[in-house]
Amino acid sequence: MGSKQEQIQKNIKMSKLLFSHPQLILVLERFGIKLGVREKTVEEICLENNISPKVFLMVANLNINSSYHQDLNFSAHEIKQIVNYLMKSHAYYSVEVFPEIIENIHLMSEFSQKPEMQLVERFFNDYKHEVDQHFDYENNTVFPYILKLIDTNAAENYSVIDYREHHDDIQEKLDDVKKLLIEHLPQKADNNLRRKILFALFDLDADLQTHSKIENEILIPQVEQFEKQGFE
Amino acid sequence: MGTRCKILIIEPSVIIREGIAAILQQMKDSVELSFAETVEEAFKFGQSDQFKIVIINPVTLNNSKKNLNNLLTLYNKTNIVGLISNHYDRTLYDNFADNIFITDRYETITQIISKHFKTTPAVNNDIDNTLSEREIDVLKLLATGKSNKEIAEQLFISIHTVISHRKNISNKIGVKSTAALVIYAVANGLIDVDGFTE
Repeated sequence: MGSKQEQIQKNIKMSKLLFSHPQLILVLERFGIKLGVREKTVEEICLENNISPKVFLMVANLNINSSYHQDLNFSAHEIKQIVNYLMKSHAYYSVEVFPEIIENIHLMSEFSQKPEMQLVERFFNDYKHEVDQHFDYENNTVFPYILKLIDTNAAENYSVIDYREHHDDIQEKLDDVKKLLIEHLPQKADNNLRRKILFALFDLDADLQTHSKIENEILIPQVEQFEKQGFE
Repeated sequence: MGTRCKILIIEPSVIIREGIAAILQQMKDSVELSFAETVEEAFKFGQSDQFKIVIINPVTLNNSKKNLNNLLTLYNKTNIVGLISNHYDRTLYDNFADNIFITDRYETITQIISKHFKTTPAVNNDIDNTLSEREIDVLKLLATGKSNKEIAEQLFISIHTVISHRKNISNKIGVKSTAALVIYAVANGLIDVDGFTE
């Protein structure tokens, strides 16, 4: 993927969209939109669920098309929805994705009895710890700051510029694990475990990429603008 | 990001944009593409050093020296490759690292792009990715938790050389973190499990 795709429009049927891009089912879930979308359009579904169609389309387009980029201005209300979406994603990673991968890596390590597999397990546990810290920082510092900024309309000492500096690239180590499992660590009979781990890692990688795009290309610039100019 | 090469394409024509994207995606190296139709749109990506290569059609510079200078300043750490689809003033693209002409053959285009990847281009399989003896020495010490300085002292080489070896090792193996390098070393029997410190 990565090439410029047709952009999703608000008047297409939600069901049609989900059949062509099933990964968006996860996006719906994070926006609190329930399935059973019948014949309704993207816009109708969004409005029914009090989600701005513009916010939904931004996230959905970024999800299906890594190069989607457009000058978008969001209202304070919409920024809140974006923050909420990002927090839901964090919960999904921490509660669902990571425990599952860690469990499978543990099983693979036990199964193989190889020292390198025990190291992979430790490597991934350390990585998860790092990612958790990053999410905690966003959940406890950055996002509350943004929400407060919106509610009080006053910038504080802190600024999202600090956040940008704090924003480490957490994808590098993910690439390392994939590389090790695909290229460097001989496989014994752990076929299904390793496949499950790799599929999960690739899904996670793709999702994290969209996640950081939303943060870096949409959220941070928007909030920076608010810090300077305040809200309408 | 071990192998992913970020490329920004600044090209107003959708046909050319999609065309060059298709060519780049067929290359062996994994690329991550971003697109802009105008220079203004491109500047919104900010962070000039995030792209390894910027491919730009000089038509987007509107024949302006000032735009050209802004571009060269913003992307001073990036390889700029011109994408020439028409007759332009040569001064607009002579300063680029390279130029692709719309009449260029597929091989020519991929060769030009490969040249500008950070790592030695993986265009053929003849490139030897096995570690040299010296690199193995460095990796072994690295895996036992030694610092660059300690490795340099032990092997009687400069820190600078250690760092350069380390970079080559990472490029060859395709992993960046020390922890992943250790795992590689253990899996390949370069060090004993007891050899690395808890």
